[in-house]
Amino acid sequence: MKINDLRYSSTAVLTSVVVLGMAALSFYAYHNWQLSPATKSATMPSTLNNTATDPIRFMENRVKQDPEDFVALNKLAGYYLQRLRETGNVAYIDLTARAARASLTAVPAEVNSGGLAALAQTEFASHNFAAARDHALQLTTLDPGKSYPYQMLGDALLELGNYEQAIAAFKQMEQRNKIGGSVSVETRQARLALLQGNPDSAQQHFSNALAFARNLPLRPPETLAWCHWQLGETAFAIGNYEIAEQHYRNALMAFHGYFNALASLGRVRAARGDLPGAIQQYEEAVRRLPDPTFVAALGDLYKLAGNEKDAAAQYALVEEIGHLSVVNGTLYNRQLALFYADHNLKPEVAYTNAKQEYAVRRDIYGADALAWTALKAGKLTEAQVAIKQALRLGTQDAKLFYHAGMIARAAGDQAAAHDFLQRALTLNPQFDPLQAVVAKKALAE
Amino acid sequence: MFKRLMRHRLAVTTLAAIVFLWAFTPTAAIAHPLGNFTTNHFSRIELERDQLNVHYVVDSAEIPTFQVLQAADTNGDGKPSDAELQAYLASIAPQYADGLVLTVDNSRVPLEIEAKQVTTLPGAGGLPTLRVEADFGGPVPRGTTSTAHRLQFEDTNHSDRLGWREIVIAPATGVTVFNSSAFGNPVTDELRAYPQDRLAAPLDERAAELSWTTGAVPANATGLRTREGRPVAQSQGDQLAELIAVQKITPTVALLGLLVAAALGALHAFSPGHGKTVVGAYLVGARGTPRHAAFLGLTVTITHTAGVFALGFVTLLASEYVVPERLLPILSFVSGGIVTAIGLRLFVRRLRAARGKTRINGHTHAPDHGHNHTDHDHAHDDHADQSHGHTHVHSHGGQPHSHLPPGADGTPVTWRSLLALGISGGILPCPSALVVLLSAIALHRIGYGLLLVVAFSIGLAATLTSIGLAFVYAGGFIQRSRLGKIDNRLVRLLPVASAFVIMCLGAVICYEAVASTGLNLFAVKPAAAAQIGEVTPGVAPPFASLGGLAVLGLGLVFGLKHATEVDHVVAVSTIVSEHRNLARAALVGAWWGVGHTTSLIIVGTVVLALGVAIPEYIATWLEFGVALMIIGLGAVAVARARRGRFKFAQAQRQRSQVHIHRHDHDSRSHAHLHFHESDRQHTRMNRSHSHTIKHVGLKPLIVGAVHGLAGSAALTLLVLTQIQSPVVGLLYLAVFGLGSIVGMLLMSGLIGLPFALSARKLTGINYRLQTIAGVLSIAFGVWYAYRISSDSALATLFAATQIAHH
Repeated sequence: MKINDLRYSSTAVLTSVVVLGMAALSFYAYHNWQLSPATKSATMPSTLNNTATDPIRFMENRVKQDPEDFVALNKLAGYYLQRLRETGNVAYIDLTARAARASLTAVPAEVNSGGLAALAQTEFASHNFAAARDHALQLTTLDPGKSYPYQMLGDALLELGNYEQAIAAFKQMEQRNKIGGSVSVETRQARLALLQGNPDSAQQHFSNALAFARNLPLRPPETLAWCHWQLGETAFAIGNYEIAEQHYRNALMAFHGYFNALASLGRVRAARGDLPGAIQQYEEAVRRLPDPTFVAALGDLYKLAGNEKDAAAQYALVEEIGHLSVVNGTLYNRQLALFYADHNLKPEVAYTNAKQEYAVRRDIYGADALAWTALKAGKLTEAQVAIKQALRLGTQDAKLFYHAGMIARAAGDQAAAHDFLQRALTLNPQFDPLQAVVAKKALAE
Repeated sequence: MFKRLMRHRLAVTTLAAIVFLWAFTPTAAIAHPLGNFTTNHFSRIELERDQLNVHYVVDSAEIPTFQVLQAADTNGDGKPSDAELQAYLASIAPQYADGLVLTVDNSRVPLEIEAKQVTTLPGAGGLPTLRVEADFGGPVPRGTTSTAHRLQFEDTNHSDRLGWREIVIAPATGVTVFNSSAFGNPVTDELRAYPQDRLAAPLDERAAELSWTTGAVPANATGLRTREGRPVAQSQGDQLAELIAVQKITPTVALLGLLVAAALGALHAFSPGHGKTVVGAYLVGARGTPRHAAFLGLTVTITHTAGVFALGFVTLLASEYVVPERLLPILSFVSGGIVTAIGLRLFVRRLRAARGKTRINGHTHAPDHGHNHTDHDHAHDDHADQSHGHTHVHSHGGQPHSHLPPGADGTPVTWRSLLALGISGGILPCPSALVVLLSAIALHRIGYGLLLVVAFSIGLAATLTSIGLAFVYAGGFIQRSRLGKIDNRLVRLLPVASAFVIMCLGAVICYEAVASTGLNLFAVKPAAAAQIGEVTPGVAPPFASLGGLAVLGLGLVFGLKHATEVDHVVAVSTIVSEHRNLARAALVGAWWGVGHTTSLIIVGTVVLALGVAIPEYIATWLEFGVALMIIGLGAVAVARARRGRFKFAQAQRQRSQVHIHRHDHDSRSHAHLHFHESDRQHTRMNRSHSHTIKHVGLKPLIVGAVHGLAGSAALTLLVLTQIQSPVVGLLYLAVFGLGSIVGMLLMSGLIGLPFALSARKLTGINYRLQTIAGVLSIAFGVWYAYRISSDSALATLFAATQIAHH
């Protein structure tokens, strides 16, 4: 009987050890197997020319096999965002949002900061800056030691016009940046320098960012192109057209067909007096991405070239783009308002749109759009108040000065008008193919 | 919240799947996957023996259409007139032809425009979208010596524009494509319906490379595949269809044709999906005779011929409404269903038979069958000491009988089962037989076509029958061999195993049928998960549009899966381990499901009626209660097994005294063979023996209710947030509950199998199994409780698996 009992208990102990071991193993496996590559899809023949989307397909297959693989979903969201940056195609915003939401459905944000970060970035990309800010704030509590939550927080605050807090957030970001300096830190410093009217400092920071980007493991082409493009934009803003053009060309070398650089190259060609070249550039840019800003600029160039019919067609297209979808409406609201104001079209609509946006997004360019549209809608006082807000950071931007000058002129303050218009044309004589002409005419009067 | 979501993400996915299905129903306007900036391309490369065609579609979204139409608007009225569109088409089609670079064996194939068409369709914002379709064709270059060709294709049109780019390879009959970089299945129905649901970046297939041949495919070549990685069915030249197309039918040709058709049918039967294994498994299990096999063959022939005829006529008459490809999976599913049903029935019967057989001397007596083997030895008592705990012969209504089938082994072959099996083997018409019939009709050679189909069916049946016969003789051989005589149990279990195999194969056929329709239940899930966030608040997914069957199906499937969740299975398995009867084991599961569903619906009703959600801390405590319950169940099971095993061991040691023991339960009289020492032992043994637990009792019901209660918190919360209509919510819960009842019934039946099988003969093992189930349950309960109480530990683990952020 004793022997039996002993045998019995040893069996029980053995069984429980095995069972507990298996439970522990399966627990471990359950949470880690996502990281092991799926071998199934690797054996499938890949389509030619698809190398850029391969990691995306890989992750999509992972998600297909396990819809709750939040690691793959987060990765996927990151890849979609990258595609958005590369192509400017807003459809990727939707895909990113789906991936982020699926990730957060599978694993809640409290333990899934990657999913939350993806969601915040999606919101940022779709101009839902308030939500992006809130989620970035949540991330700073979930991942307090990391710099990226503060980077995202600062970006959102900057777009919302909350500059003091944005600066504070970027400070936190810098402190947590362990490498010492990075592309993201340098570009944020450059952004702030630009806003605060220090283009030289901005130039320096963008150059630093470019140097950091060149030292990154894979020298990401889009990042390099973006840095070049930003350097070009900074140079253009202070009238250095030749340098700007060189940067744009470098951007296109780094990333073939980079839509931002294509359009900017058209603008700088126009500023340097090459109208046919500019038109050709903008036509290419619009083929690649019919961004309303590009389309409007192309219309302006057609008009300058005396091609009224094509200009009208482009202007019609600008209006259609904003109306086609809710996403487009949100994304291009400000551009459309400015387009109307620039071309003296639908002043009331433009003013209402700008005002609505400024109610939730109080950045200096929002104030500028409100001021410019208010002027065109005949609301001079409001325009004066708004343009003051737009100039409050001391930003050196010819368009801001041009708008300020035109408002002062309408208010009868000739001295101020002269001063602002002079500053605009000194800073960047060809800041806009059509508006620069208007500015010159006003100054001559 | 987290644990509950983890446990009930199934519910999330169910809801999401329903929402997804609803969202998937086609809507009027096309929404372009890449937005309204896009120009989308579709190329279908059709490979024929001496001709290459490209079916090319360019679908422009609103903005490019706007740009195109402005340019095309020559009269300046702002609207595209037909003439303007035709002028645009005339100018763009040659450009497109130039932009498609098609080379074969490195020489470019000039593409001629064979047909072209332009249409405008309403798009978003009141703007039109433009659709240009064109068919281009070019000859296959001659003079190449190799039988295989290498083809390269590139679409260079609108290369700088954003858009969906899809390339599909479509080889004609007799052409085989291999080593292809492109795929064989279209995704968008020629850019008419883009997948809106999937978490998938748009296709960007700009180029393709492939080899094709009309002859033999080289070894180690990879066949054409679908985007999901499945091989595309390619007819290796349809020899059967070629039979019908001969110039003139002479008697010799006809005879030859019939022979060839029969041979093809015989060969065809070897291809997967004709239930060869099923036939074999059935016959070997059922101890079939050659006569049975022949009958089976006849049934297959008739069914197959009839099936081809029926499908042929359906195709002819209803081709406007029904696509034959749609019918094939349905027939396949029906065939699988028949097989599963036969398998299930056989399995249950044979299992009962096998369990009922407790004698070791290889035969038994069934008085009602009139056998009277007086020359056999019936002194079971002589053998008692070398075998089991007790043997029993009982009587109902005074007529004693044994629970054994009339045959020596397994169940007998019934003609009905054979018929059903034959039908299931023949119901799925072979596509090439269908082609023969259709071409016969087209060529006005209907009679000859019918004959060919019959010959083909006979060939098919011949193969199946031969396989069946082979199994029959092989089975008989095993039985006669020494092996069979030594281990009687093997022979006894063989029919059970074969029935099980039949059942499984039936299920596999059903699954394949469903999968072939493209409705992959597992593929629905990611889309569903992606869709869950898209539910617009205030919009209830209209169940009505989904169709009752679809909801039921989904609910069942997810309910079935829900039943297999670990904490459910563990709890039920401890209860099942107490029962030694399969039916009762299954009943335990069903009761659990009823309890689970009842509490779900009660709580769900309260939540939906009052509009309140269950607070998180209560839910957590309920979960904790589940963990404790599982530990408790495990402890009870272990204790029970210990007690039982102890007595069993005692009895074994004292088995010198054996006697037959008669008693009644449920108004039946039973006779038991018992071994025990003293009267005191006798009474105690009697109590614990009791054919295990007679009543399933309330235990599973209560356990299920606790599970349902704990789960209901998360589930109802979901229902509240995802479904606005309470009726829809309750309907969902009810269907889900039904699924979980069926699921757990099957599950517990499966769990009960080892307990039931080991109940009579192997009491020692039975107790050991009970102990294992108990220990497993305790361990799981402890772990589960730990998991619930230490969310922070879990969070740390998750953080560790997080990848560094970009």
